[in-house]
Amino acid sequence: MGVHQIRLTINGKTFVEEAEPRMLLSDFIRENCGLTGTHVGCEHGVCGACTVIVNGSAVRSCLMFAVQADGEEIQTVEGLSQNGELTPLQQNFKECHGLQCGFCTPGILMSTSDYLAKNPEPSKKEIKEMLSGHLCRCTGYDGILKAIQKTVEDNKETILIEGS
Amino acid sequence: MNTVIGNPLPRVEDARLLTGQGKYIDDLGTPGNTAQAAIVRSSYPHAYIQSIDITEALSVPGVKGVITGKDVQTYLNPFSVGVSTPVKYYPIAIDKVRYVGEPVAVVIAKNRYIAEDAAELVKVKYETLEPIVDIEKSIEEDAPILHENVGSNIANHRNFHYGNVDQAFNDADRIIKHKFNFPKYTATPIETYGIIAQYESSSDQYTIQANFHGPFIIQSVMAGALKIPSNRLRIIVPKDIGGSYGIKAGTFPYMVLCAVASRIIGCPVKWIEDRQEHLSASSSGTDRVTYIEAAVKEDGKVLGLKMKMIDNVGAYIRAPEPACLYRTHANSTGAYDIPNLMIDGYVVMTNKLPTGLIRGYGGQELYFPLERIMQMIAFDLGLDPAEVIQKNLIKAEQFPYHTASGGIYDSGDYEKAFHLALDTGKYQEFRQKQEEARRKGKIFGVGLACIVEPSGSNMGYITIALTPEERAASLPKSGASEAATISMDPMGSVNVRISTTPSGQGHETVAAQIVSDVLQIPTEQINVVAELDTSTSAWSIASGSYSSRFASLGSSAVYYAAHKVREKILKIAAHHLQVAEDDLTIENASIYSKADPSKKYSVKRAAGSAHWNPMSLPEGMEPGIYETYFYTAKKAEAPDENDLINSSVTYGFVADLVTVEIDPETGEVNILDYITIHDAGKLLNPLIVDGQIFGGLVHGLGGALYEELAYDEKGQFLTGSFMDYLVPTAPEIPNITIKHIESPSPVTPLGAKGLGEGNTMSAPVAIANAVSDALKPYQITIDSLPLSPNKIWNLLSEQKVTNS
Amino acid sequence: MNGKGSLTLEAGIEKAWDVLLDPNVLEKCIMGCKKMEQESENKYNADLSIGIAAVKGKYESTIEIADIEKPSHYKLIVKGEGGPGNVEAAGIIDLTPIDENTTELAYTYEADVGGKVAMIGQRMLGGVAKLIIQDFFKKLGKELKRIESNA
Repeated sequence: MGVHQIRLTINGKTFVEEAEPRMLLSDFIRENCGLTGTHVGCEHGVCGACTVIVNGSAVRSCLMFAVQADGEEIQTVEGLSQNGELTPLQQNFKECHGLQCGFCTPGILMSTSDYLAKNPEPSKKEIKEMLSGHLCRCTGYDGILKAIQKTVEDNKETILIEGS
Repeated sequence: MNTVIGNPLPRVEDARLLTGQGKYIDDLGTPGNTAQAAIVRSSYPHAYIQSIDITEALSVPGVKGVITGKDVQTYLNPFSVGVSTPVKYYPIAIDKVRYVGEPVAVVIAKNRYIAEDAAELVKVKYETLEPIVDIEKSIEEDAPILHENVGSNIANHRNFHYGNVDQAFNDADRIIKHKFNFPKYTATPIETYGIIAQYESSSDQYTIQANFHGPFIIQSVMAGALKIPSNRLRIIVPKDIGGSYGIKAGTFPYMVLCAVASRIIGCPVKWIEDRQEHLSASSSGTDRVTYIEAAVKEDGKVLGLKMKMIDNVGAYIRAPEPACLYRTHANSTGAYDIPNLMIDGYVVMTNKLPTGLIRGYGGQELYFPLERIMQMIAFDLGLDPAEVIQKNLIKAEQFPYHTASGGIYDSGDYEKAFHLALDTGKYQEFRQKQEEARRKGKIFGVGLACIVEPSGSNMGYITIALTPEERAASLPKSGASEAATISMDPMGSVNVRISTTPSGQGHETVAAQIVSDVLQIPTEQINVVAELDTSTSAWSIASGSYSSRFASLGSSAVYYAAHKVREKILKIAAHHLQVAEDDLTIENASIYSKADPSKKYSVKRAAGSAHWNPMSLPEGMEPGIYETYFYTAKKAEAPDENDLINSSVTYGFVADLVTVEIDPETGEVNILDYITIHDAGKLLNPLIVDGQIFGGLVHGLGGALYEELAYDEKGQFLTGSFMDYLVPTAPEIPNITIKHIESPSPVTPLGAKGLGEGNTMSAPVAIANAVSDALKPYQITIDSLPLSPNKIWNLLSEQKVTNS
Repeated sequence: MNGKGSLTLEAGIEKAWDVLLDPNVLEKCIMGCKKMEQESENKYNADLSIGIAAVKGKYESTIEIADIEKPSHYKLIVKGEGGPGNVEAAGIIDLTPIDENTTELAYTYEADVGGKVAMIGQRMLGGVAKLIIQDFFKKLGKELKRIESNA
């Protein structure tokens, strides 16, 4: 099986690597690009741990081939915080104890970042629906929900303050 | 004096985990010549292996080798296990396969993709045999036998009599009895097993990195299997493990398999398990049949219990089984004052995945029949279930309470917690609502469960599987130990080394809190090292993370090690300041004389002098600051000749109240409210505590309603992906209210007990009791799980309750 | 899993019988069947390539015709072993003449599937079995027509 050259940007940095057509994007990000923050939990698209953002949409990287990402812009969990500062969402995960083992966390952070950017004021029910695509076996989702709800509330306040 | 113990401090682990900088097994670097493994597995539940043809597989470019059971046998002994039955368990099938998914060959190649290509080309010829998966049928005369040299599927059988059971049953007004089935399920951490194994021929040493978290008694089991002295087996555990809930204790056979593969092929071998492998061939809890009989008086008082339990450990009994049956031995009568107890305990083997540790370990299987029979007693006597529970609960003044089977419940106020559950859940009000709802044809129910949550296992309990005579002929086991090492380096910085191999429980944070309190330095300045290395860490057989032992045992080791450091630096300061040691105190990283606070010495200087200026130290004092403490809880003796054993050292209490509504059209169970009251002694970090409780509850919820490792009657495994093995997701989580009371443990220095498994043990039966209560008007008995809509719907339609 | 069904064949019973038991016809009609070779009387080795759910694979198979009661009854036993798993299926076929040129075929089958394919695609197996059988008889019908028109 031949290899293809893949050129893409991850978190703003350009990567030029070679991979077989059958290589999964999740493996490519982890092994070829050395970014191990994206985790693999099931390889059949159910657990959501491998979720990354491709061209502005949350995608399960275990269900995509690396060659399909050629030329695309990807964001992974390593690209969320800038200059070592946690984003408000990450900070709230810490405060609300939204993670324990941390293995499902990167995928949830990516899905949530994407979701909140498009739906800034979801109800608790809507947040739960969004989270239904992610399996967590440590937290029972309580801390995760609290963290996301707090982020939504904090954003509302920020908008109010900025608006006034 | 500042104190951070008991504060809901956010965790130190989060900074790295939130930014993708965690170091899990698959993130660690490997030597350049590391190869990857893919495992060929049996698709039959029971068969002889006639031949394995690896020629085509070997011809795939990039393949370094293929090994089978025959290759591996020269280098291995079967794994030792705590029963006298001579079951031979190897990490790969030798001449026979006994469960779907059992390893049959290992392909080692340049990368996983190539290894899987080659694995598909390995041709195995089987001669199929009749499989057996039914628990009760497995001990019948004509059952197919899994292990010919054993001649039976019974791995262990013991009978226990405590108190005067015959008398109790004679004095009873009624005998209430029933048979219960508990299903086989697992805990599916999102991170699967991962191993990097290397063999060094020059020193005949194996070094294995793996997300294995103990109990480290298994290190001896692995060394024995690898035929090497134990100091030639170096196990290194990464600081980040993606969840386990006991399941990763079962990594050990694969560690040995990869180690031997590395030896045979001649390069390091890495294996990351995939999800299908995990569901079919990693580890799980047991499925169990229980026949329970209760001798009761008309007023609801239980005089005695008889329990026949048949626990299924799967195709091979392996360490630490049969602990599944005996972990809860001391608390077999749960929260109730029942002095007369008979247990007839069987451990059987069938053609299913071998079992091991799981969150709750034995608790859910025990409490399902016990709490169900308590409700059945109430129904039979025409009493309210709350009344029957109240009648039998151990009273506050009875602590420390000695159970029939040798347990010593350290502290508790069960009635207080139970009443808090009833009040919080507005029990009486709900009963009225239930009446009204029933008149309207709605199906509402409320379920209660009161359970004792054991934590901190006494390593002696595993020998209860042996008879007193067998025990007398072998070396006794006892103790619930853990070690911790605290050091201060030349610049006075603190390093804490723990051996509790966390997988998300926040040990680094809590350890820092403890050391911060004792040494009076800020938590941010304390570095906790969670990696365990059997060649360099302080550890013992009980080390690791399981049976919720950090809060009771791990924390105690850290506490006492910190006190050793504190004593040393106080001695150094006393010598320097020329005052008495007991005149000194520490606050804000400064040691000063209580009598004359102007006499002070910084902690940093005191520690520094031990390195930079050892000649200034008191006579006879060693330089450096490096203190290890090996802690064991007391009351952790080996079983005595009457089979009395305190199988755990601390015991918490959980009272659950669950309300449900059942949809008669679909059979779906909707949980309206889940109230849970916990008593886990002193809470070290309430933020982490509630996270553990919530997580444990959702595991219990999964077991009650969704999760099952399903096999058909021919032993075929059916739930090999998350599409069929249903893990609870966010929309499935009901309203949960957690409240705490604290009865400090007199056993541990901080008064803490373990927690996190309580609701995993109680939720399955609390929910089952609620469903049973809801279905009471229809004479439907709930005696098995999961309570899927399909199951409930069928029960309802049998009683002609549905419209279809 | 198991199942049953019946259909009408556009051929007399003798013709239908001959075509049904012709190994060349079997090779053409069994889905994914490649390379069928006779091993012994009424027993053949074949390679079957079938995809069920996401699990595609090659199964080394034996096809055996047994319990022969010409021209009205026989048993077809298919055993396959491959990377994705294993299959053991047995079908009992009964033929009844309706008239000179039509025959009724009634079948019952039982199949056991194991390995990866059962672990993951278990819910789909019943449907896949029906699909393979339907496809077999559709192809068989075409074969019968072809043979009739060539006669």
